[in-house]
Amino acid sequence: MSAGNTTVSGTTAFVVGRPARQLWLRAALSILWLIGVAACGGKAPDTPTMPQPASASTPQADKKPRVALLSPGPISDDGWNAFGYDALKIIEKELGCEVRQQQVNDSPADREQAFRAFAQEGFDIIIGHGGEFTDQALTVARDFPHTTFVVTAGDKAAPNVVSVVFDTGEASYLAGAIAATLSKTGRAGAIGGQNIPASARNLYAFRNGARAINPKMEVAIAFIGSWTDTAAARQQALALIEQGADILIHDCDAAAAGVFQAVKERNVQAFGMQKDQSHLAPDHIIGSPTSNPRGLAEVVRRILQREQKGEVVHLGLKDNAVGFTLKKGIISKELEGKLNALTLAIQKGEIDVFKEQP
Amino acid sequence: MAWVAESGRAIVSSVAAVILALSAGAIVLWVAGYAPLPALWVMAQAAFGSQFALADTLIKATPLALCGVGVTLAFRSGQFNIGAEGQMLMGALAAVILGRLLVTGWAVVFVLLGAAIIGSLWAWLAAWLKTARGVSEVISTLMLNFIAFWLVSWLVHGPLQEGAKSYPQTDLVAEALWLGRWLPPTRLHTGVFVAVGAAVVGYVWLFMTPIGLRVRVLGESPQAAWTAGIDPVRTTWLALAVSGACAGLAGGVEVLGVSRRLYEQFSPGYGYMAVAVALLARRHPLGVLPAAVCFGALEVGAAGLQRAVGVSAGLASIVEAFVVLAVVVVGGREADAV
Repeated sequence: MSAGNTTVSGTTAFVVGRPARQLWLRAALSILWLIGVAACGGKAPDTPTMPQPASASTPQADKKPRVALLSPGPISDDGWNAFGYDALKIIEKELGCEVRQQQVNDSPADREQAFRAFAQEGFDIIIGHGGEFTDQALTVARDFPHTTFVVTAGDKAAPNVVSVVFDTGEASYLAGAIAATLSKTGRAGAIGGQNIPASARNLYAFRNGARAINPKMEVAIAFIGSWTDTAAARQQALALIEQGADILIHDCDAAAAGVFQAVKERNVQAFGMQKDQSHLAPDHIIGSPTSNPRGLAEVVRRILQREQKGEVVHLGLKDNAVGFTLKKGIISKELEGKLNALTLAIQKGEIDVFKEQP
Repeated sequence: MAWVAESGRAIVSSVAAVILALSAGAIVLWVAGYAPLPALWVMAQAAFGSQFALADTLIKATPLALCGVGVTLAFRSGQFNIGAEGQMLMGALAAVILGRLLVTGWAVVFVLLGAAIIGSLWAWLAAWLKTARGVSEVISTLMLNFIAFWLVSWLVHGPLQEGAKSYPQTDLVAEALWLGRWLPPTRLHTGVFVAVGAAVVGYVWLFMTPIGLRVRVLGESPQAAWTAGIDPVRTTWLALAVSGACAGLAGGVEVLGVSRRLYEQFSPGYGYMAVAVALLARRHPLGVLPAAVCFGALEVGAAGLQRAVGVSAGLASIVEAFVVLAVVVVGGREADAV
């Protein structure tokens, strides 16, 4: 009876080791404590700031509109989540709103809980930052008709649910055109986070743009299944480079750090995404398709002034909500002219950047 | 009345653990630049301050209690089952598959039963490895957690992915199966009663039946069990099966009550937290209920802290980790006994 024997010896060992074990645990606790102090000490302000009391308990005299942002990842990602937070800051400063932000786990149940919690506190507008918030926004919106729910990159609407789609793909299309012109191997790679429609559309637009210039251009599109796994992103980038890609684009938020790492290791070129990311790999990043946080703030302003009905709002190059930042001196006059022509054509609606879909 | 004094001591030490943890958490908050007492008040408000807050706490406490009862029963038999996470995931998987096949309301019972059986079978794997091959259940249950996680991950990305193929998640289970919600617009569901029922049944099973007695004797002293002619293999199998059934049931209840579908991040670590719940409960099935509420409140309070004050999600998790650590430090002797 092996089960019994193991336990007997185990128990004896514990009896002997008991005081030491407790001591060890206490020591571990104090060490953790010190690490915590050391880690947070640098950033801590000298005087502890008073947290604002939860507003539910203290009704305010001046009714500032209240806007909450639910982020699917850390707002320090220099990409999608940072972009959402930038919009929230504009909403706070320029629209005079009281704002809050919460990072939500990648779980529908947690997204629903966060929506409900803010709605319950009486928030006027709650922004779910990403298409994955769509279902939960629609569900919770039925229970809270006086709150407006905004889903960025969503594809559905309801009387009090507004979806705002940034057609970043229009700028990715331009990036694709640049890639096709600059690539020496005729191959490029695109790395996505999770394979969700918004991200896939964006990367396919890159391929469409590349093929508009060079119909034989090969663009491999791969998804790593995560928005934060930098190691997986680096591996995927290295694999694409092995296959001959000399220009990469990404749409994987915080995980992109791994893409830039690989790009630096193998000395190839890459595009940023959402924000101007050139500072993350200055020698290797050609440019970045960007979303303008003012586009989102503008939708919030329209909702507050009751000018916005529940619908899917598409924002793109023509609304100045999507843009493209380009490193100086990297492209020829000829290509610049071509890009300007493409931009104009996209703005006029003459080119469908999403022509070929996943 | 020795047991009164004993329970008294147990309760005092558990409460002390919670207080120690909260003060440690307060120090972390203070170091990070937040006034600790108002911050703790915000947490308490977020967890208990309104009908809505209380409902959220109970929703989080439900899977914690069910897994906690399971872990407790395994602990009592001397098995350190840290596989509640995997058993719960397998239960949820069973519930989602059955929930797509059976679409009438009365089938709820069968769906939950199926979840419990699959969770139980998952725990049996660990019992088999232990009794037949001598593999430590600590290692096997932990590894089975990973297998369950990646199995679910593969299924929701592949064969079981929703019809729309947009997100890595399954379709919703049939609406007729959804557990009733009272107090709308909160999500409080009838699964709470299942958790309370499981704790009571677990208590009766452990303390008032001959099988429960055998389980406890085996856990307290395998030598005594040997002398008394208790079959250690059979008893180990039984204890782990019941333990896994509780965790599987937690998965089923969570699917039908809250998530209504399955996806990768289905559990924010309920199965692991359940180990701390069982320790805080001093391995008593009824003690699991307040302990689960305590951890549920902490989860909800941490989210509330982030909403109200902007404490980052990482800091909130640190506070939670301190509670777990303090429970082990104060309840150290209990942890050793397992």
